[in-house]
Amino acid sequence: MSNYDRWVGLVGIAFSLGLIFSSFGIETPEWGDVVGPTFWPRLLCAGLLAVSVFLVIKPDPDGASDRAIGFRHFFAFGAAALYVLALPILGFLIVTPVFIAFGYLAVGANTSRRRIGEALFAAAAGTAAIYLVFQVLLETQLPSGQLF
Amino acid sequence: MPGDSAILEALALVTSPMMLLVIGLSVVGGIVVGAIPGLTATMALALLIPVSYSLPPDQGIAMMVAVYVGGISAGALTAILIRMPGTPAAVATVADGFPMAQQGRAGQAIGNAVVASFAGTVISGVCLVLFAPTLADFAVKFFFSEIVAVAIFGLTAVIAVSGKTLSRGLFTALLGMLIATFGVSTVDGISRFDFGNTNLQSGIGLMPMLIGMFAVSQLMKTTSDSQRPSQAHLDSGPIYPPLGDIVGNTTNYIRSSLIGTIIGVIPSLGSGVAGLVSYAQARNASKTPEKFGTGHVPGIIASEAANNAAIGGALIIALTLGIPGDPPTAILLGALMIHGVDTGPMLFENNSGLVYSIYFSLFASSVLMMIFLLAFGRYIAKVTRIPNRILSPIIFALCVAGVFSGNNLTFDLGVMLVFGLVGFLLDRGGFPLAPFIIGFLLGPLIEDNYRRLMSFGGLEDFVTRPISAIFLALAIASLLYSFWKRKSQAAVRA
Repeated sequence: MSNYDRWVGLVGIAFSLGLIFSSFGIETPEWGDVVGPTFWPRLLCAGLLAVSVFLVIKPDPDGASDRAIGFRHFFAFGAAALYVLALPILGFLIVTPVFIAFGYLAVGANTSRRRIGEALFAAAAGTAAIYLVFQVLLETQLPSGQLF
Repeated sequence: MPGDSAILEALALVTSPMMLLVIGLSVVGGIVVGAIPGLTATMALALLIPVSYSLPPDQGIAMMVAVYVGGISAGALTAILIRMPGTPAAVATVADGFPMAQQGRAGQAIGNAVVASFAGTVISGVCLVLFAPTLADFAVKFFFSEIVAVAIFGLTAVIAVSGKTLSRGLFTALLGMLIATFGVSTVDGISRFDFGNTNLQSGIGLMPMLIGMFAVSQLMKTTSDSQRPSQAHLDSGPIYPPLGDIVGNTTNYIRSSLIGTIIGVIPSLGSGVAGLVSYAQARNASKTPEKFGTGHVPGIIASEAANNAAIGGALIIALTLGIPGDPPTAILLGALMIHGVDTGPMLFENNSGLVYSIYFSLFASSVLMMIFLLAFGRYIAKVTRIPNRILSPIIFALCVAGVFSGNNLTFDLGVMLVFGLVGFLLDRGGFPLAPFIIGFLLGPLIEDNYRRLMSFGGLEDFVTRPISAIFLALAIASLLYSFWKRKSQAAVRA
């Protein structure tokens, strides 16, 4: 029996109820069409609510235990989130090499002198390649920070 | 005839040096990504959306078609060399490809896989050219009720066949449709679920959502599941198939390509299913079925011809009806929308030149894919050894650069992260992601046309207009088939 389905179901219930509640704040114009802007979202919320309740009551007998979520997954997400949060402050060209080098060492779980050298090279080459493609070739903008 | 000039213009465009360079580089990029275990053609396509956006539509879409062809074709490399399909499409290739590699015939296996991939793409491309315009001519006469019925059919077929349980597929599809309602409604301009955030008034961006869902979630997965399996030895012989392998499998080539094309047309079945069904059919038709699974060339041909042929099939339904059959075509359609191109039947009316350039790009990609893989397959196979510690952080930085380049908004990076996490958590729980994106694309189509139908027509149009009635009947049949299939599978297990 999969508890995972139950957790997802509970999140689905909270999400759909929250959106149903929020839909009462949607403005309904007098000049609008017959159906109105709230019908479709409420219908979908009702559908999601029903499926979520079903998942809670009758979860899939084949669980998801073979695909467990571990600390490393959230560590990877946390590092990615920190990287994104640091971008508006420090800018792409400063944060990206730090992130790549850190990611290289963290995923490899080895901090020998050779690995550190490889990490620095990967950081410089990776950042330069992305800068060249987006800023120089495609002439798009990369996130700039307050410092750079 | 105006169509002739559009064909010639598209041909001239695709064969121009710049376009061939774009297609060639994209094919190589797709091959490299497809050959790396854990990275998929879908992920490559998602990553390319921002690059595509900065190019003219014809070049951008040609690039994505080329990556699609390269990515699907290269899945065979890892299937044969490390018993791990580089892409889900190559699942059936493992059965005979890896035993051949163990017998010291990896070169012959890869050569046959490459030529079969080429044949499958070309044959399905011919079907696309022959049938898509006729289907589009028919579809252009659709009224609101027909569009709603076709979209519901696309949606139910996806839900019916995805995921271990119907409830999980339904959950992700409904979630995708619900998320698509965020922001200003196109029918009356009323903002919904913006929570006072001005960024949300324009809705959840397609690009950050796609990249989060398919690239970031995949990175979270591969970063932690970083063990590489041992690699089979690639023999020093040539990477091309003996002529006897090709001539002796002519029927297999044609049958498998047609199976792949037909399965590709059916929403959501996709190239993985095409390869498996075709493999089973080749085994049934063989005089020596006992050889399948032991390193038998016809098995590889059946799988690879069919999984590539599914590309053309999926493009038929995507270009003519605007129904994304699988995640890669959903991303392709998304890219067309980001370029401001109307998808569906009107694409043929308003952008026939673009449609022809997609056709020619498909053919050019398949030729270049075959040349690259036969000539450099030995070297490209080495990318299967690139460790995740190098790839993951650089690809994530690429995601950030790509998403930011779309609107220059840090908010979009947050959207990408949130959908990356949501995609990862859903995937870990066995919830299929394909229905989410298909729901996200088809939901607004259903709502907008339903609201217009109710203003200018009525519910009775669904049954009084034959085409919408047929598609609604197909949708119901698809759901019933799904229930029956699941029930019979449960009975077999019991």
